[in-house]
Amino acid sequence: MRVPLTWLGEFVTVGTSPSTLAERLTMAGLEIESIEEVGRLDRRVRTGRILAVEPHPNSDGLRVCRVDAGEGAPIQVVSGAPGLAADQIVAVALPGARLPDGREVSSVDLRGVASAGVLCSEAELALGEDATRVLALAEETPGTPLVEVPGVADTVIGVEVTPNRGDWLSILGVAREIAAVTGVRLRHPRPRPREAGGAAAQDVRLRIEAATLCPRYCARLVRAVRPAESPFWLRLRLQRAGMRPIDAVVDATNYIMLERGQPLHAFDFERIAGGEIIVRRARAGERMRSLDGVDRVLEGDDLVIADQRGPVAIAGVMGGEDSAVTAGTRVLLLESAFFAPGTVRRTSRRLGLPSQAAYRFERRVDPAMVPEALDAVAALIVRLAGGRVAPGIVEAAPGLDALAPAPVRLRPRRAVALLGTQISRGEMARRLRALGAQCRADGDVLTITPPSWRGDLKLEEDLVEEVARVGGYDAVPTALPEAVVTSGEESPERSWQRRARRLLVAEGLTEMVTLSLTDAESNRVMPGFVGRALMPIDVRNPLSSETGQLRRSPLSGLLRALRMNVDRGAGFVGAFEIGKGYGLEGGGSAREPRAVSIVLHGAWPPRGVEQTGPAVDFADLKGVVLALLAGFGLDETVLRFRPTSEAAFLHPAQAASVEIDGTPLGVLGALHPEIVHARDIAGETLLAELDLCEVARYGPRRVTVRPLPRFPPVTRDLAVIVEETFHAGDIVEEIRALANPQIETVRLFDCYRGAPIPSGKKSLAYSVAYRAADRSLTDDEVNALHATVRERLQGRFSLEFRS
Amino acid sequence: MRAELAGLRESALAEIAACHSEGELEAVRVRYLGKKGSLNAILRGLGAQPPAERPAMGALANEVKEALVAQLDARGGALAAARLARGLTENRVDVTLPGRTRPRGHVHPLRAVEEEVVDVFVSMGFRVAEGPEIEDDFHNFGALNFPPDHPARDTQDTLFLAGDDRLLRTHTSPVQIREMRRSKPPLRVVVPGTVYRRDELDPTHSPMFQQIEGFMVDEHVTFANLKGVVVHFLRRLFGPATGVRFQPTFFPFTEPSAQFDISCNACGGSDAPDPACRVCRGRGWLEIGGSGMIHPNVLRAVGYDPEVVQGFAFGLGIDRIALLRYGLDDLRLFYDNDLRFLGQFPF
Repeated sequence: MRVPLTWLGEFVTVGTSPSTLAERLTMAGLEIESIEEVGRLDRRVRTGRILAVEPHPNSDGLRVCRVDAGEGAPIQVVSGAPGLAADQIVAVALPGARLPDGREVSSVDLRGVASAGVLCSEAELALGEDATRVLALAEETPGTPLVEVPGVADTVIGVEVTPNRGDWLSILGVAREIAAVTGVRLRHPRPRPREAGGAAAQDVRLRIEAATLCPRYCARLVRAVRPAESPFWLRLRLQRAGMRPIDAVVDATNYIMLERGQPLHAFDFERIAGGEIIVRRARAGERMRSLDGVDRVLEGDDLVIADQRGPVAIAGVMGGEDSAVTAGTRVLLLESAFFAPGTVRRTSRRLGLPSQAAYRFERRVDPAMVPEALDAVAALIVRLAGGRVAPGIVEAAPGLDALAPAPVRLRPRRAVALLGTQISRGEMARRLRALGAQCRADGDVLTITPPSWRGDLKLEEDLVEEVARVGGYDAVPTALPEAVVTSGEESPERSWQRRARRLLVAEGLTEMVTLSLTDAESNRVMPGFVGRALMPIDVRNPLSSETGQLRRSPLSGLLRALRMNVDRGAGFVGAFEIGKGYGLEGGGSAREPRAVSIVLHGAWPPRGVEQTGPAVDFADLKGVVLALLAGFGLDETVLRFRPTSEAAFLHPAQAASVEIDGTPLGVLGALHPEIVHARDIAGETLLAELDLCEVARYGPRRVTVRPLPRFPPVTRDLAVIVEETFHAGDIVEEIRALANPQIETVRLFDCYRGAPIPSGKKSLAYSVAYRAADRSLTDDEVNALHATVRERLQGRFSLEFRS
Repeated sequence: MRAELAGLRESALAEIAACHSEGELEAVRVRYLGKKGSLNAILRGLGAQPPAERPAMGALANEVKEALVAQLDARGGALAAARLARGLTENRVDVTLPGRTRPRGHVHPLRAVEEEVVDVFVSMGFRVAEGPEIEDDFHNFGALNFPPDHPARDTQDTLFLAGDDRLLRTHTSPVQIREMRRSKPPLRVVVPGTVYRRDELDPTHSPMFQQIEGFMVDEHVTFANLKGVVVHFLRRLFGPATGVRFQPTFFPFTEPSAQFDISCNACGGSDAPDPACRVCRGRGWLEIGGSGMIHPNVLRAVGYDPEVVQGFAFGLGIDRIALLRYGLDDLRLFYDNDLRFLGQFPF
């Protein structure tokens, strides 16, 4: 909310600078977001009386005015503005004046006539939006610098009001808070209109059929109004507070709303059928054309103001077009009511019609302000647009009693225990009284009756906050708790994440954090590993289709980041994310497994003196995956890499699943050529994804240390010729399957194709290390062992040994 | 034979002296002292000598051999020393050539800051808990005292998911509910996690960001203790001289509620703010997080008796801390994942 300080000054005398005031209010919970100095016009922008308006000899569009601008002799000003007439008081900028947009006014010759100044519009002076005509003022002494006209120079503070404090959404409310926390006196004038003519109740009938949604409704009748334009001072204030001036009647309702927090509405009473106002729930399917010209279809939950024909306004949200005040309106019906916050909020949100009025009703208006604001607006309208206010307020208040805030019990000891600071009972009562509450002492307990405008004070804790707030949170000491000494700890899941992070960074990969939201197509092609069995979840109210679904795998985000980095010239991308996939299981329940997702792309950066490193390949990726798994205590003695074509996003001939005891931990491989093509990612791209929880589940919990060997190993090589399609790892597996404790390691050290190996075949060479724990193996023993190995392989596979 | 030996000695010594490499020297050694060398060739004629002269001839031959060996060793030593000396000036390494590096990896700044913040709380005895990001109305709102149709929900612009009662959590507070329902006080828990709001990605907003939330529940935990823990934490993170202030605000799930700020670390701070400071916009204070005493309705929702236990909770944005920590003003850098950005974080 925007608060012009000159307006505020009508209710409290602020003795301090705006910045000190802002600090004070911020520390009381009324956060000041901005302090803006406005209307600081050059003193050579004056008020001037037009003495005469004459035609321009050389132009039909221009007029030559003689203006008394306090310069001794009248000055001559040429203007193209419409509607100029003698005796008007206007804004005139004299030569040398600098206007808010930076222009400097000078004496000029306009088509042969000298002009010693400029007649200015509101917009030119940054005092409003109207640029169509010259700013006209009420009676002012000609020659007064405009900056000295009351209200022109001002300071506007921007106030951020929390949702619980609807009572702060007015000039009066802010003034009341200042009075409470600084101790200055609040001035609270309650203007009342002079009444004349027949009583309002003779013409107006009022019936409330939905008492819980409208516990209080007040109306006044104003006869013989003459709708007009609002004066400058009022338009200025409205615009400073952020509202646009319309006409005197509408402006008056907005003005009083801004000033006192009570939204008001004006009907053209002659268009209210039967002169009867009925406040009721809408009938489902009922229609009304609202002020903005849109036909609205209403529902049974909406509250409407109706006449005998049908709805004339949606309560607290927007008036109807048929009953709106127009230039021809003669009789006004002014409405001031308390509408239940929930109903206004539901309807305004459903119809997409936020408004200043709805904003205030949603946050609860002050029920005691309902008739007061009605009196104030009636008095103001008579001042601005004439008319006679009919005697009496027409009121129905079926739920008024329930609106009064109920007394709340405050145990001072409880307040002290919650705050951790000593405050006396008397001091607590003093602070609460400053806020307008009534306090009664009952033995040890204070019984507090909150003021009518504080619907938010319902519990003892609410009062404790008020006590602390008025005293200032700074006054509460800062004290570390006395607690039993216990150790803190990371959760196991998070320590796994940390470990994976360090391991992959050590492998030269960079961590990324990508959006969990993605588009449906990316999500479809990229289930990843953790999302392979999950159905995508749609976002019901996405900001765009780009973020229309929750990703099933972090890989969809990594792929997008990869594309972006490649576009920006990255030749190597080695990245990972430790993030979640999201989706629905077969049974329909939501799951969010934690994945470690990896992408390798392009060519390794040069190592030392070379043009570039080698292109990344499957072995690089497998190396990274092995390093990660090794960090969780899992090595190739327990892991199996199986070719897989099940991961649809991977190249079917270049993909593996990594398993332990038949349970898959993840997949790795080259990005599927179709995706490469669709995404237009040039260069080799490899992806891997592991389910972190599965990895951690299989990783050993403790390290078991083997004694160091005391005897030397003996190695024997083994070379075989096999079909091209043969899996080199099968030989290692097979030798391991012998489970002979004297076979220590098996390692592939050469893979060869070409002469003299026949085409379609390849030669694999392994080195087998034999060692016994308790002695040196003899040559004969090793030879026997090696022969067992050869026999085993010969029996299992179709292969040929090379000598 | 004597003359032969003398001749051999003379010519061998001359040749040794003329050697300029260890290879040449070895060739000389083989030629004179090898199995098939000249000395042996002469000695093979020893049998033809008169027996009385044989010992003298043998001794002479030995003498010649020893002299040659001594000279070979000396010359060899000198040549080896010269070679080593030459080696010290040759084979220079160009130390300015590039090192043979592996690519360096980097931790994402959001994760680095999150770890750091978590570590501070763990060191203060807090236990870490996590919870689901896909939540329901009860955990995200209802149990946290957000009434239906209350404007407080506007401050949590929510992304709703297809299906009954599914949404993306707008804060980490649902984990507060889950942890309190799961266990009994005393509790000291800290909750890091990803949260969502219906915001476009721009320099100051993101549909997804990182939060950390902490709470403590016990019989005597006070608002003063809340201030104590938060101030202690902020000074650990931002330095011991950091100014901290608490101001009243509103959250449905705490009462009293407090926003906490630190004095701006980019300008003179709260004592002498720079009106042109881009970070604090001249205010001298930076909003860091929200906190308060857990609302009695929240305690009741998890089955605690607010007359018996009380506690505080606080929450703050990891993204915001990271922006401040690295002097950045655009949140998008964190979610763009440009390697040229990420590569600037050294660990």
